[in-house]
Amino acid sequence: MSELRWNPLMGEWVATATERQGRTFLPPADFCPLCPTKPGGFPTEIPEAEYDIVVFENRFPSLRSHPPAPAVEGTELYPVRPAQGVCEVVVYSSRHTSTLADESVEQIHQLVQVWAHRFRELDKLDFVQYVFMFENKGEAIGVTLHHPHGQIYAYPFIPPRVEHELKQCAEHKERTGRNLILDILEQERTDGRRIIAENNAFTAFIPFFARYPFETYIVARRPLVLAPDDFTPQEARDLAEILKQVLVAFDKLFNVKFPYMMVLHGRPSDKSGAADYSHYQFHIEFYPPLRTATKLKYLAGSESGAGLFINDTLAEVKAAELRAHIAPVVWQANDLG
Amino acid sequence: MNDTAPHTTLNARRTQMDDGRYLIYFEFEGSDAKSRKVAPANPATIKPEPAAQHVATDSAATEAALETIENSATEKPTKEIVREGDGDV
Repeated sequence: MSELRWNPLMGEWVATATERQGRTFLPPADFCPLCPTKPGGFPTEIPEAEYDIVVFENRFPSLRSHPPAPAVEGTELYPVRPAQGVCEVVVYSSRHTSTLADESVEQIHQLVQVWAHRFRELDKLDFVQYVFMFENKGEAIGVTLHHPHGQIYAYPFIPPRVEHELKQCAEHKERTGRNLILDILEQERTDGRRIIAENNAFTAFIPFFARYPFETYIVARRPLVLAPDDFTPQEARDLAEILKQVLVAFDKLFNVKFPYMMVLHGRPSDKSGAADYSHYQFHIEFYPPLRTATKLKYLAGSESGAGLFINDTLAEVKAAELRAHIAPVVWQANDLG
Repeated sequence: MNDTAPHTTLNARRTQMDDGRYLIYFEFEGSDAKSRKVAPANPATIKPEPAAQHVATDSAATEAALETIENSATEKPTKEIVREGDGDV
């Protein structure tokens, strides 16, 4: 059973998806459902023996394009609606033990193109208001399949965190006439102490207001880049390059497969074509839970109950540590198409 | 910016699973994926290795594993990570 239940106290939806409750952890590598199916071997979700990148609908989605009717009746105080949407799995590579950081910049470039493709397609669905792409990496985040993969949720509403960003951006535009995210980018570039890496199209930095020690933003520099399908071919390559640089630097920090949540924030869907989101800007946010090699940042009482994050570190210090591991990216000549 | 960066061509090949879900193979000209061999037509008839004792059937293994594709941050950390109530001050 799945449905959306309204929380009138917070003014936001909660999704229930009871089919997901009985899941197991960490199946043996030989039984990874995201690996290619080998002839005579365990049948996985992916029938073919080799692939570049695969996207498929999650077998146990929280949101469905044809959802069941809610299991309970709503009231005026507690509205209920079907959990309509789409949940996709994006398998980054056929290599089970790889991570996105391990993949070549060419493979990451392909992923960027897949993001654009999936955004274009899901954005058109009449019941979709927001296409959300993300990756949960590492057991510290709760992942139990090590095979490198991300996910896409196409929501029937604008999710609260993005809605809050949009509201802040709209108010800033109203007050100053400027784009808030580009103003943040400019201030970070002017200060310089929190910059991690940069190329012509994107800048990576730990923001002044970071909540996690290594919370990192990657912001598109050209105005009106609002979603993955707005990238020029060169911008797609530049995003792949800076992603590769940041991901490799993450792994080098503590010489571990660095856990993180990676979320892509772009404009909401606009079926009419009349909406103006020029006050917004595409960016990627990373929330890595590690604060040392062996200690996690937990969302405890203040963070969860009051909404006040307590960061035990200074963004300026952590940015310097991360920046020290940034290295140039080399494209392989044999991948020239 | 890297003017010598490769230009790959995206090809999206859409297929359908037995249960109706779609699956899209993204293939790129110039990529290193070599051959793409199709698995047996009815892979569900293949039995799992006995080593995976908690996996009851092929489909159950797949379903259980896919259930773990989770967007929650509530699972326990790895054993090597020290839990501290760093927000509890």
